[in-house]
Amino acid sequence: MKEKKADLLQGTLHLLILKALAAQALHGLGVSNRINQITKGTFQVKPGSLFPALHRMEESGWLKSSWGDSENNRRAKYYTLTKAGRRQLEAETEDWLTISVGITSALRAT
Amino acid sequence: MSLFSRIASLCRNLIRKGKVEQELSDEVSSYVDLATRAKIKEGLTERDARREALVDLGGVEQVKEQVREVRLGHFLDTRWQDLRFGLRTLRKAPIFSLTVALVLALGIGSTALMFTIVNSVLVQGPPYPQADRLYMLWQNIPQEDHVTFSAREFNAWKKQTEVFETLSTYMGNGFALSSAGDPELLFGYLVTPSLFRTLGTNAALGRVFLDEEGEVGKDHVVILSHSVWRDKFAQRPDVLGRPIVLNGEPYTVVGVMPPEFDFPQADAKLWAPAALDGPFFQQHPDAHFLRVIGRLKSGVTPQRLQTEVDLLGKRVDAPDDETSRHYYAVSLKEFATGQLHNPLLVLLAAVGFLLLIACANVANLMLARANARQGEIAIRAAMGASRRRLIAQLLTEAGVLASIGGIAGLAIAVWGLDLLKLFGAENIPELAHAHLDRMALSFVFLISTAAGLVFGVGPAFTASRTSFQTALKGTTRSTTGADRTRQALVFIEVTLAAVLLIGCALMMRSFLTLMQVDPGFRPENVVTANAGLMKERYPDAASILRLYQTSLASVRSLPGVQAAGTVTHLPFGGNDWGNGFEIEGQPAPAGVEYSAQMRPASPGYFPALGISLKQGREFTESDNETAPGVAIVNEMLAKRFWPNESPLGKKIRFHKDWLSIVGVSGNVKHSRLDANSDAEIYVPYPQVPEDVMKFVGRDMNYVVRSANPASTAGELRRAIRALDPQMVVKITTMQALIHDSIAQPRFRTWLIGIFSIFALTLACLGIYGVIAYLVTQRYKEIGIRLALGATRSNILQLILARTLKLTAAGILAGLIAAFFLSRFLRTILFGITVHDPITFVAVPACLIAIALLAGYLPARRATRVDPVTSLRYE
Repeated sequence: MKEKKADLLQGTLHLLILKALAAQALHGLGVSNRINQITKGTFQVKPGSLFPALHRMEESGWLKSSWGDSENNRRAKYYTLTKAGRRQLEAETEDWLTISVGITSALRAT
Repeated sequence: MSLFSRIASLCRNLIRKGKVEQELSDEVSSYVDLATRAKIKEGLTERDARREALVDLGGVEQVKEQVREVRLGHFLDTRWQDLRFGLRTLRKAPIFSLTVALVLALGIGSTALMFTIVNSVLVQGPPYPQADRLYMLWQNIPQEDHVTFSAREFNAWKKQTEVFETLSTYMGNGFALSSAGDPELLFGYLVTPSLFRTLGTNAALGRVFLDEEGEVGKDHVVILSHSVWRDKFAQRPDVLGRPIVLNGEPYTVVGVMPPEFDFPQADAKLWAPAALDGPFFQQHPDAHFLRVIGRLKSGVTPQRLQTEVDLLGKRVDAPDDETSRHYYAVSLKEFATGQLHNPLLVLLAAVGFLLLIACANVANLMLARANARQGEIAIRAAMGASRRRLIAQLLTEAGVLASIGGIAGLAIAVWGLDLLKLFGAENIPELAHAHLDRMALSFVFLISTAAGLVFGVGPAFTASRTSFQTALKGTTRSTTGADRTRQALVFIEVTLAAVLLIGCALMMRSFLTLMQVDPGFRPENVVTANAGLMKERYPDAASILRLYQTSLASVRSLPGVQAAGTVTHLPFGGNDWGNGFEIEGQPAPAGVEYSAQMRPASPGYFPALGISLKQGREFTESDNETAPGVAIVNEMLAKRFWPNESPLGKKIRFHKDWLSIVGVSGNVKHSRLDANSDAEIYVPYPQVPEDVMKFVGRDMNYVVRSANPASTAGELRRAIRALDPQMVVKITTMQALIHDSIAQPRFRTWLIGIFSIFALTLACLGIYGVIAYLVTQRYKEIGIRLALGATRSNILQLILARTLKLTAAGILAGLIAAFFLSRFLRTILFGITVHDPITFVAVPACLIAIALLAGYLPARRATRVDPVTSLRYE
């Protein structure tokens, strides 16, 4: 699979992580895989960016973590969205859509 | 919500750091495991899968560090780490750390000390509420400046109420306390009761004077100073209301002042009301000995004050007073500390230089150390420390050193101040008010921080730029940039030290010149005794004269006495008596009254003190009250009125009778070695008019020249006491009196000397450091030179020449700077100019010699280099 490395703004990373965890709890690697999946391969998030973002978001209260068993019976740290996190997801989604509509129309203008 | 969560996380990150770190570790290794599993599923072997997973991760520590960097509380945590690490590294290099701390402590401590003194004495001024509203009144008359007031003048001024809210007056007075143990003469002040109101102070115990206590009959009350209360009355609270006997009369104690109250001077032991309407002042309404102080009305500016004083002065003069008087006002602060202003500022500048030298020295030390730590820093950088982190860590170390230096400096300042007060307080009473307060503490904090930044920033920035390769290879060559910085720092140090040393040398030469001033007499082997004649035992001139005759005869017969005499006003005794006089045949121009210092003296006074007689004779026993009136004038007066002829036989008078001049004496310095002599008129004791004698004769000063001063002192006291057991006698030597009179110049010369020694030591250490370093850098080169045939002395010359090149520029720059800056010393130098050539030549020459000495040790080490081993050095 060809990896397209695109520059990710930190804000967008937060949004993607929130979206990735909207459906189910995931561990770090799982979040990375899910983001890759839902962006159709556009973004491959490295641990060096992912882990700091996850921890920041957990400190802000949008995620909470707990240790559980993973697929191969090893312990892994799972993240889930909190209520505040869900609210944050909604807010950021709306912001993003507003911005992207505006930019798209700007690019389309003659 | 988010804020709450963040605060909770912050606390957890800081308090349970171990657990947080462990979790992170687990999480990352769990990630690696999962990634490995995934790759195995794709078909790789376990080993390859793990390796690829790790490569994909990008490095375990790096990832963890990236997480840590965004973690809340990271800043605090890293600062704490830096602090602990800094302390550890400093502990591992104890000599370096102690040297830096010591150098800083010296610089910061000295500066803090001088700042405290300047702040307390010059800036804050007298310790009374709104002390800037307190002004003293003085007057100038022709021939004499800075004259005190008469009772009549004070009363006239008191009636003018335009500028002063309150106006008070005071004069010094001796009080013989004879009810508590041995009779003792206490120096105190007669003050108008409003004085305490003018100053705005209250008693610590009891009360201050009531206005009515300034009236005759109610004025036998007294206020004690804290020291008298402590020493003579054991701090008993029942001292209030107690009668004590002063000068033979009963006084009631009504109050005790707080310990720090010392108006007008530290010698004030007690205060009694001045009954201006009473007999003492009324009998001498025109005798000028009152000092006047007032508090300005609100709204009166100093400019308005001066104009008003000028105007009021014209109104105040008595109609029959022909002397033209010029009145003026001086603020209390200016009066009390005016003459300290320039010396203290010079000393403050001097410590400023010292501090800069200390910082330059420390900066150099830090640079050298940063250089030596290149390997360690490179490894830290390789481990993932960002440049910013390295700078922060190095700055923290500098901060720790600055803090230690600051605290140690504060300790030095505190002890130094106590030491100064111990040695200097008697002769420099203003020191007593110096104390460390909030301003001083903030100042120490400020300069410690500034110093830390100054010597920390440079090395932090240069060291963090370390290139990995060169560092890890082990080469410890410093960059040319660092070399040049070190040399620039030494240049600065040498320049500042040169300026400071030239200033110090100027002040020392000035003080030596002062010490060698000829006072006009020969003070060696002269014992003096000051006897205070109490009014009730010696009520009139006749009783004073009786004592005069019997005591002189007794003193003259003491063993070892070569000459003895008495005088009412002793040179350097703290007293004088100015009076108007007339010359027969040379009337004074209108509005001018000639004024000279009057000196009733006995036969034997001139030989005893060693004043030379230029013409005529001295007094003899036959110059008594029935003999024709005679006087001896000093050379200054003689030359002024009789420049081309001898004054002998001419007539002069200061009272009703004309006196015949029988002798001309040499000029004498009476109060200060660095002031000019005054015109003096000596008259024999028995011929002093009675009403004057019972006033000026209260102090009998015996002057005794003896072959054995020590034993004569004891005999003198016994002899005087034998005549009057209740007499209060103070015995000292003439040399001691002169010694005390130059205490302030001595004090400031000592201080600047100490600062200069510190500065010179630091500069030498700086030079030594740079040259030693240079030698180690060039081991290989020296070895090659030696191998190629250079002699040891060639090498010595090479290194010494390098030392000279390093320091000559600084010495030259210092010389030029001192040339321009020395003008600030003009007011405090005596006898030498601000561009004294000897100083400006000798000091640089000495500095060159000292610099060469500082470079000599490393130079010698250079000559011991073994060419073979040196070639192995990188």
